[in-house]
Amino acid sequence: MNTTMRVMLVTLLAVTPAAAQSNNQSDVTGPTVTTSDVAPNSFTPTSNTSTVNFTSPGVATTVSQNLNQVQAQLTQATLAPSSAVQAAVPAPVQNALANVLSCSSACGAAVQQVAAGLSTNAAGSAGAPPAALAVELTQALQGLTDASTISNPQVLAVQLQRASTAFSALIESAGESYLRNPPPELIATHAVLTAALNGAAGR
Amino acid sequence: MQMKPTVLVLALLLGAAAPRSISAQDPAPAATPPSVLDSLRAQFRLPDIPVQMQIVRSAYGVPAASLGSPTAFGASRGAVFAGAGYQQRTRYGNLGDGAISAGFGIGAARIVALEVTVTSFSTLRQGFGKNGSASFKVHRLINSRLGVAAGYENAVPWGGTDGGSSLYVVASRLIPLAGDEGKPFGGVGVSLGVGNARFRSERAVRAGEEGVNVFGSASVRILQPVTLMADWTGQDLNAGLAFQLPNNIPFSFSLGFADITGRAGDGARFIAGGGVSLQPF
Repeated sequence: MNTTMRVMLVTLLAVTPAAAQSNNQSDVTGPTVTTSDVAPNSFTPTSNTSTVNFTSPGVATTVSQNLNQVQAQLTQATLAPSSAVQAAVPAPVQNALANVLSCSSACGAAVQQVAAGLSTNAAGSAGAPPAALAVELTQALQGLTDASTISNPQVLAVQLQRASTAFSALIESAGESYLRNPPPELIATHAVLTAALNGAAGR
Repeated sequence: MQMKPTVLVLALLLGAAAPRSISAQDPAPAATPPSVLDSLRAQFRLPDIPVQMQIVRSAYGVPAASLGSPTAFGASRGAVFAGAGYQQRTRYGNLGDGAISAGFGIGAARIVALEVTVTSFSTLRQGFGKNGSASFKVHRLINSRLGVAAGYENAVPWGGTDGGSSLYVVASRLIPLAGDEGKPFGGVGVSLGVGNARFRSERAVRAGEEGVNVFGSASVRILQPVTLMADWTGQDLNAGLAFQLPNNIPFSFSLGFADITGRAGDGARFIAGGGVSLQPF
């Protein structure tokens, strides 16, 4: 046996065996790459929530455009009442409603002003809906034409639905004398919601 | 007393003609007839809003992330995923190591689903696909918070893989803690399983002892997109963070350290992984 062979043999006998990777499963000591767990939480079940949205993107676009137009008309006090309710809306009322629709924060005073107008008419409070419904409607209108609402179809759909529901609840609770002489705030609100949906149904 | 017939007839007629007492069912004289109110309300009727109900999957829920051991949740029908794992150095080694994988699911998780994953353990140095395996995980959602799975890791290996093949069963449970489960500390996800081969302790591996060992992981959301997780793989205690991107962007990744206690190796090692998951079908 030559010297080289002797050295090799001694070395092999003397050396402490190194830990081979296979002894420690090194291919699997990081994130799990043999399942979808490599992308954490990808398939972890989450709760589902239901929400409303427009039936098509075209509807959302139409409603957004309508609301932008309505906001401009209210600001300029040129909003026409809906065809079903022929009565002029004074400029201060249009401006007040414009403030509510475009308001995104600190809207308390504007909301109160319009809500108070909705709670009474020229004949007083006879047949007027409960004040809470007027407040609910005004709050639902708050920020409806704000850019953050109009630019998000799902948010817009939810808020428009809420405003429509609140408006209908107020009408259902109102009496004859109130409906015969509706306050201008009610006429303006009706015009806004009607105009918002103009041409949207067929999209 | 006798009554003349004529008087009797008159009395009967008067009685029949006498006004009835007002009953409670009679409308109040001052009330507005419903038809009037209806017509007044009709003029304020709004057009129907063209909206529809939608079911939206929450982007964030109770997490069930792991960092080395499998969970019981997986891909089902129509889902595909791809990812990569990396360790800064191998155990007792100095070289980094990485792997890439891709997979898909079939079947319905509510009944039973199969997740198939193809992994290439060789990457840059040896070339992609030279060493690899196919792995399988059969999983089922018992309900929206509890899943069970059985898997065969590296069931079909090729080339020379370091990991060997492992069988395991695992259950994962999502435990809500607060009202909004997607908020920080809104819930804890725990997984507990039993497996052989790579899930054995280092001592058992070195001694060549067969058998099974326990593994498990726990995770909690500490920020909405960030999950803190700890994972006992049977050999190592790993810990790290998992990140999810906002707006339902289907990419998530994890960063952490393996063997943070130094129990099965020569110190903690930096590890990372991540991947995309899609539901195109």
